[in-house]
Order: sequence, then structure tokens, then C-alpha cells
Amino acid sequence: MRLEVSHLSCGYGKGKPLIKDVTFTVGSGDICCILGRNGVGKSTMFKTLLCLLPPAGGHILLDGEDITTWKAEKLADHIAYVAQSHTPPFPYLVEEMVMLGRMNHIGVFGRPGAKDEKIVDSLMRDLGIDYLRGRAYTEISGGERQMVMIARAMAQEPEILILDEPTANLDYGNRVIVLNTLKKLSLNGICTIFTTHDPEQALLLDAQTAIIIPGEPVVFGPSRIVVTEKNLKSAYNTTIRVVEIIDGEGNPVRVCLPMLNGGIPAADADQDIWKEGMGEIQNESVEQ
Amino acid sequence: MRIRTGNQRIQKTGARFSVFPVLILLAVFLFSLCFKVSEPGMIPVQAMSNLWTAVRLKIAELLHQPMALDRFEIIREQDFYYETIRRLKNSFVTLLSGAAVCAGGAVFQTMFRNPLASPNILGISTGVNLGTILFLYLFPTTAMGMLEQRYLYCFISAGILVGITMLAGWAAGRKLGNFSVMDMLVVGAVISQFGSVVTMYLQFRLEEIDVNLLTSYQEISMGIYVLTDTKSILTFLLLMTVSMGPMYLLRYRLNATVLEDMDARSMGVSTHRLRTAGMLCGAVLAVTALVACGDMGILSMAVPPVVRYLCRGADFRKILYYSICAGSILLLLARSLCSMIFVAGMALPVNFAISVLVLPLFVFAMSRQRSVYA
Repeated sequence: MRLEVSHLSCGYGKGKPLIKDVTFTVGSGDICCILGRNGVGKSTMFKTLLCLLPPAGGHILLDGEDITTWKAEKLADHIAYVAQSHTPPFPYLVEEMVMLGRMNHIGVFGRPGAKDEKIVDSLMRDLGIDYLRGRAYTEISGGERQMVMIARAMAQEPEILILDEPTANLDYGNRVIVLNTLKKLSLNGICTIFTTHDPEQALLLDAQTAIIIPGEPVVFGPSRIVVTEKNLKSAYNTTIRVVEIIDGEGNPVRVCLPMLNGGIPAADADQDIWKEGMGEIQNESVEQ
Repeated sequence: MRIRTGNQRIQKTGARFSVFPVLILLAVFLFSLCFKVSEPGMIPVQAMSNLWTAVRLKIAELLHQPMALDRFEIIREQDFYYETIRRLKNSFVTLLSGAAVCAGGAVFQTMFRNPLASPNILGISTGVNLGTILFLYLFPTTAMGMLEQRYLYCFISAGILVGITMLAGWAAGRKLGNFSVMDMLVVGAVISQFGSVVTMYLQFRLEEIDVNLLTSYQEISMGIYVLTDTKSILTFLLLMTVSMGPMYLLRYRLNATVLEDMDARSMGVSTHRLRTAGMLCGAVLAVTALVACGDMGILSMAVPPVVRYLCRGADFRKILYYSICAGSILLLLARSLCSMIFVAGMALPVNFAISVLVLPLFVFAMSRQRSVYA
């Protein structure tokens, strides 16, 4: 599978396009992260990729075929979408919600069969949400809902998964679960395209990264190359330091640190408390 | 993601239907045939015997068998034969009306993604009431015998109100490429208010013409009067088949309308077409039921949320099935109860009994699911 986006312009109606001249190519198993400030047109680009909006210019080719001419049913066989957040008005059970993803494989007048049940069952187990079976979707946590939404999208059996800010409104633990899931999907050959407001996630996943900077061509490339202080400054109009730290196994890891007005507190400001805390942690590990 | 489809133990995810509600429905149906306080009661065996005789006679009549010639002799030997047939028709229309009203409610709630939606929301109930009273006002002497015209007036009146509401929703949502549900709700509420004011004015005028006409209107709208002649039943069945057929076929697909439009469209489902089909079928179903059995809007609003609470889950197939069963049972029970309770020489209004039966359950279900609907 190869998705080629060439010189794509996106926008609403005949007005000035929100995004111009986006060019990138992704393939099976790739993770593509899209960064950009609020209102820059990330969601508009997703709508265009999902053919919900006609492109204002350029082409979107999947294995050489122009997908903008495809019917929605055919497109759904190849591309699935996970919205930022959605709460249905009725208490659907988790397995019912995941089963909705099979809609494109079930005919207009059809209903889920044994094969669909097997697929949903298998997906829920693979994504580690089997324990949610029998619970109402409206009663589970935000992180669990996001996992259910990913399972629903995966039930479409797509080649490409598009996720709109999958970690928004999630706590730290749930963010890690979602990022690990994206990594797992990538290892299984699914191409994942997602937006985030956290550039660190692009670095953590070693993703192909597109940075949308207003009024400038989209910057695209591997995160370790394009996630730079200069590009982040242009994208978010704020100073963000990209620093390298050494992880527990001695490998260099890059992280992003936003600079607040007046700077961040120096590490030595609370040196004693910090050392005390570290000491406690070390003591705990020795005891263990 | 690799999807395993081997010989693993698969937990069932599909909708499972219990036959228990159908058994209750049959019991209530039999009860409604056997008992009516103002008339002589009969034992269920007698009712069943009468029904069997009716079936045998009909077959004999169709096949020109000699038994058909002894028709009157056979009927004379049966106790309460004509009462059974009359009650059968009455209960049959009541059963179908309850099913149709609740199916309509389930469809509207799904289409509007709103657990409080009902045929009132698009101006359907108001349209039917307006059509009925307008018809009585224009044809005061012959109105009660003109079935097709009554249906026609109710359909035209409800169609105009629903049409205005849907057009407003479409105009407000055309940039999104779909209906704007919120705008439809607002316009529907305004249109319903306007229709109610006109209905009230016509009630006042009807009383001036003939007070009995006003009583007839009240009996129709309160659900005391039921259309049970063969032509009415056939018309009712035809309209119900036309509207229930597509909904039954689309029963799984309709689940997609509760999703955000972008989600549903990315799954290859056109929510615009589904909503249009659902709303049209729901409107025909609701008008048909309301013309046949009176203003039962409360049943259509209250039953689906109670069903959602009781059967866990919201798969439309499940909700449709259990709502149909529950609606039929409740309307049959309410009508049977009302035939037993007389207030000031008149049978108790059926929609009053419905409210007493259903509203406590509805309030309980909504309060238990407050976190969902908040």
C-alpha cells in the first residue's frame, strides 16, 4: 500500500485554501504525525483525505488510483477514521460499538454474522479491551473509549488509519496506552496518520512528521530531522527547546520542553527536595 | 492488524432476542379478548373456540364447502361469537397501533440522537390532531364514515408540518451536507405550538356547530375511539407494511445515524439518506397509528428509553423489537383497564391510563441513566 499526496490544497468552498501544496508519501506500517497550531487546517486536511471535502488542488493517490473518485463504500474498505472524541446519545455496549465498524462489510440490508462476531472478538482481545465486554460505552473512561474507537475503526479492516488527536483529553497513562497501540498497529502493517499537539509523540514514535506552518510550505520528513526548535517556533509561535536526554538503557532520547515567560525553575532551586526524592526512590529500589 | 478467525471460543456480540415479551403479549392479547367489565366476560377457552370457528368458517367460505351454508347455525351454538370477533378486531388494531407508535418513537429517537424525541417533535401529533379536527369541521355530518378522507386530511396536515420542519433543518444544515438536528427541533417546537393554537380555535368553533362533534373529536384524540371496520384495518395494515418494511430491512444500518456524520461517512454510510428514509417511514408509521388509536405520543417517547435501560445496550434491532412488544402490551393493557373504569359515565381516556402506567417507569429509567444523558 502506498498513499501519495501531491501538491494537495485543502479548504472550504471556493475561498482561499487553508493549506496549500502538501506533498508526502506514506506506506504500509508507517506512522505519520501531523503537527500544527489550532485552526491551521489539520482537520480540514483529514476531511480531504477522507474525501468528505473535495481537494482545492492536487491529488491523493492510493496505489496509483485517485481516491477522490471513489465511492464512500470503497474508500471505507481502505481508510478508517477515529474522531477526537464522541459520546453517542445512547448506552451502546462496547461490543456493539466495535461491531459498528463492520458496517462497510455488511450490506445495506444486512446484519452482522458469525464472521463479523469472530473479527470483533479477536480485535477486542488483541487490543486488550476484552474486559470491557458487556459494559456500556458511555460508562467507561476516556482512555478506554479511545481504545474502543480504535477497535471500531480496525473492524473496518483498513490499510490506513486516520486519528484526530487520539491522545487529547487523556491522562498520561492512557496516552502511553494509545501510543503503544499505534506502534503495535504499525508493526502489523497498518499505516497510521494522526494529529497531536504534543511534538514529543512524533519523536517517541519515530514518525514521519508533517509540520504545518501558516503561510509556508508543509515541512515533511522523519521526526528526528524535522522536529527542530526552529520549526516548532514557526509552527506554534512559541519557544520550545528540543533537548537530548539519556534513557535508562543509555540511549539518547529527544524531548521537547516549552519555555514559559521568565523561564522554567532551575534544577538547583529545589535541589535538596529533589535529592531527597531521588534518594527515596533509590532506597525503594534497593529494598526491592 | 492481524485478525484471528480460527477456532477460538467466540463470545456472542450480536443482538439476542427473547421470546418472553412475545409470550406476555399473547397472554395480554387473550386477556383483552376475554375481559371487559361493561360486557359479559368469557373464559379464554371460549374465546379460542370462537376464534377457531371464525377461521373455519372463513376457510369454508373461500373453498365453497358445505359448512359455509350452516354458518348461522354454527354461530348460534357458540357463546359470545360476535363479541369475540369485535373484540378481536379492536385488540388487533390496538396491538398494531401500540407497536407502530413505539417503533416510530424508537426511529425518531435514533434519527435525532435524542432520548426524548417522539412524533410530537416534528409536528406529527399536532398535524394529526389538526387534520382530524379540520376534517370534522368541514364535514360535520358525514365525517365519521369517511375513512379515506380522514386519513388523507391527517396525512396532508402532518405532511405540511413535517415538510416545513424538515426543510428548515435541511436549509440550516446544507453547508454540512446533512440535516441540522437542533434547528429541526426548534422549528418543530414552534410549528407544533402554532398547530396547537389552530386546533384549539377549531375545537371552539366545533362546539358551536355541534357539541357531539367535539365529543367525537375528544374521543378520537384521547384514544377511546378505535377504527375496527375491515376497510380501516386493511388501510392500516397497508400503511404499516409500507412504513415498517424499509425500517425492518434497515434495522442494523440505522445504528449508524447515532454516530457523528464524519464517523459514519468514513464507514461508507450516508447518514443523510438514512435519516431521510428513517424520518419518512417513522412519520408514516406515526400518522397511521395516531389516526387509528388517538394521540399516544407519550407511549412513543417513554417506551424506548425504558427498553434501553432494561435490556442493556442500544443496538437498534434490539430496541425496535422490544419497543414493539412493550408498546403493544402497554396499549392493550391500558385499553383493557380503561374499559373497566368508568368516570362520570364515560370510559377512562386511554392516554391517561398510558401515562399512569408508563411515566413512573420512564422517570425511573431516565434517573438511573442520568450519567448517560447528562
